[in-house]
Amino acid sequence: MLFNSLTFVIFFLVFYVIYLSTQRNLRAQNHVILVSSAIFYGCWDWRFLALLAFTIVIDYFVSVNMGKSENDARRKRMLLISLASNLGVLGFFKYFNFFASSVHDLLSMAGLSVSPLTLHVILPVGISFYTFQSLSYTIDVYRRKIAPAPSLTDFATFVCFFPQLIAGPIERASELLPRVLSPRVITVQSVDAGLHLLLWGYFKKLVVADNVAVIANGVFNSYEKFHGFDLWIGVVAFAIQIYCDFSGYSDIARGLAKLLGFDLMVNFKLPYFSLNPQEFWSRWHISLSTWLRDYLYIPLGGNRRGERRTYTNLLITMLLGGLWHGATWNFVIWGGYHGSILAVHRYLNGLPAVKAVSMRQGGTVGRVVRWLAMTTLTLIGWLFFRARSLEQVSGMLLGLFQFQPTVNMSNLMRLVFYATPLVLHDWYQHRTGDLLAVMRWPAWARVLYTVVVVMWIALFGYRLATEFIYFQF
Amino acid sequence: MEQQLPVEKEHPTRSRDVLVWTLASTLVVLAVLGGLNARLRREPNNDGYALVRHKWQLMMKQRQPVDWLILGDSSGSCGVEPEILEQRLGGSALNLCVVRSLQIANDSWMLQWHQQHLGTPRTVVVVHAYDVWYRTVDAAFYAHMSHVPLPAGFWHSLAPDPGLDGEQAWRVLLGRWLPVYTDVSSARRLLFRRGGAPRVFEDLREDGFSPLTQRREATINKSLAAHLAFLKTAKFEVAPLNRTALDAMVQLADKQGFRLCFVQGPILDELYNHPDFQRYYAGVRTMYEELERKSSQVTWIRDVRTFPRSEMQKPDHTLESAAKQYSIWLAEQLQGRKPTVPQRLR
Repeated sequence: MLFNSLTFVIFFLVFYVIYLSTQRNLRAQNHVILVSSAIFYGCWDWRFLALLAFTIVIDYFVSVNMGKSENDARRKRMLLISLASNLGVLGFFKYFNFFASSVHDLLSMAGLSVSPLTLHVILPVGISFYTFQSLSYTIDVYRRKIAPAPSLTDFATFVCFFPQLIAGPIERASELLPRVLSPRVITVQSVDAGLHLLLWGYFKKLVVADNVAVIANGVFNSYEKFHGFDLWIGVVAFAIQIYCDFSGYSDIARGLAKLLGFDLMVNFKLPYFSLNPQEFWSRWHISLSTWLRDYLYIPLGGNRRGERRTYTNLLITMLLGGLWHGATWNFVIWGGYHGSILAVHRYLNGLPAVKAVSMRQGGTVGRVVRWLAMTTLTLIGWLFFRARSLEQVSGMLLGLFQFQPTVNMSNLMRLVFYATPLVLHDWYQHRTGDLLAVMRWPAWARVLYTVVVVMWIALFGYRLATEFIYFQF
Repeated sequence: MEQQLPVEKEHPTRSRDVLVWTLASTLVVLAVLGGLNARLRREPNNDGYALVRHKWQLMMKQRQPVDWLILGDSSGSCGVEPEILEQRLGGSALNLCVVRSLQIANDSWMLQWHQQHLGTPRTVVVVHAYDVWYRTVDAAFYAHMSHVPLPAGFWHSLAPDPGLDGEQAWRVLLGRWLPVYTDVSSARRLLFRRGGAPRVFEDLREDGFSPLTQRREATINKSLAAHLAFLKTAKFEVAPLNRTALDAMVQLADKQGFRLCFVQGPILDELYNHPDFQRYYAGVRTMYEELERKSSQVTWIRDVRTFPRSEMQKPDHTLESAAKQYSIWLAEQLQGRKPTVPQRLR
């Protein structure tokens, strides 16, 4: 059930009426969430409800046992069970064919003839998100940061909460579980903010992402026919597509949650205004980057074991972060690429000469130069992410820097048309430092804004309900 | 961190304010969209849809059976001038050709409606371009179906029934009742006054003839290239729904005793003479020959009338001067056929 489908709108309206009617009964309300989430997830593929239930049951009982025990060794064993089951499930459904074919290719290169072993495994939607969310819970229980959930139903509600079940944000139990366990208060502010997030989220997905996707797909699927500026248009289009698709989904998820009295974490903070790689990862897919930081980078040692080890930890974290996105080498390369530029940025920032320059900030020109550099690096990264083969990566990289006297005006005009409202809106948020700045406007301005955005969605929104990109992860 | 990251600040507000802006916005949006919808329902801003509606309404205005009922697609709509048939053959003539997207199904529906409400025509002339036969039921079909001004569900009582499932039927009805949603490009053009859709017709006369006067070399070149690209690999076939529609028309002709005459629409000589076209058209010929063998009421005009570029707007759309020639030629071809019912002269 896609957020951008009539079925979901009807589903949510019915759910909301029932949800509000159980406002005085927390237990009943949580049951409503749980059942509705099961229906929501089951609409994708009812067979994977069992897998979701498996994750929930294992992690619940692991956490209960950890909570009861003071024995470190036993608690560690419990944690290992959770790690094994979550990563095992993820590994099998998502990475089995990838590793099997990679091993096969390696053995073939070594001259060993082995028949390829592939299974027709369907990737359960949302698996990368809910396994990570559930893992963060068991790890936090192990670390004694939180107490185990009091009941299986409460824990299941935390894992299955449908607004964020399929594509995040990956919520921490320390944030979401207390809200599950206590009565929700739906304030006027949360409804106001929720409606705004829904509106803007749908705009980003239906108007911007789905329309610029036509440009990006046209260029990436026939990259040999494009050179120079036309290729840049395609890459920029994809950068806008993936940002609007993913942040649009997050906004819709958060908007829905606010209408229910929940506050999900902000997942994007205007990432394309970043001036360096470190800043980019504090603005892009924040729930994943912070998860990787807290459960991978820091346990590996973080930056506490010398510079070389820090660079290695950065690289490992980002390589695995890339692999999380998908079972193909281009995602691994993308992760490695970002790990590398993070490491290089850290190294350069440590140099006295660079430090001295940074202290002066460089004024507007300096900021613009740094923004251009970071944006170029980001765009090249997206090329790795979207390309279907290494051959395409190298072909497009070469093509990007080839001069070409003509420009595909149709693509350019289309990109400018759909990107302009996004740029203006994000620029306004950047200048005000407030992601809900529109809420401060007087009523007449809110009406004008809402009418314009709704009319844009009605007249320019992509008609076919298309999946969100991050569903494939 | 060099820059301060933005934060999310929920701002104090009152229920009344939220209510005001949501209600006011909803009302304004509904007013604008409602207005657009009403306008589009009254008069489609898409020529294909408008043509379908106008031709049906033209037939529904008639009070008696038409002698020379011309059905088909846009090649016939701009290619056959009924006035010339009336002058040469006597009786009344009406051009009800619409667009290719509705394929043969619309011909069959119109014929059955004519039979049920007006009576038996003398001769039915079906004018189609060569590339209508393979087309299957698609989004364009449903979109044009929405504009047939018959009660919802008409496709169950007129053959062929396209066998629409729930969602497809819903789309047809949505196109009828909520064109602002289904025909959003027309809504955009209306709102921003960017002119009409690519024209299917420039003018529509009371007898259904829609003459074309504007010659466009670029359009011919682009369209010809598209036809040749199609013909390079295409293999002739008749889609199931078209087959059913043909059978329904032939059965009706047998039952009611009127002449059913098929003819290739006017066509660009360059296209007709191309080897790929001839290869493909052999399949069309075979189909027509089979139809003739099926029923004594069916005739097929074997000759094909071609025209040079100077007389065409597209490879299968004639300009008005060529339409006159085509109509004269068609009348001469039809004159060679003996009518099976007495002539009804005006």
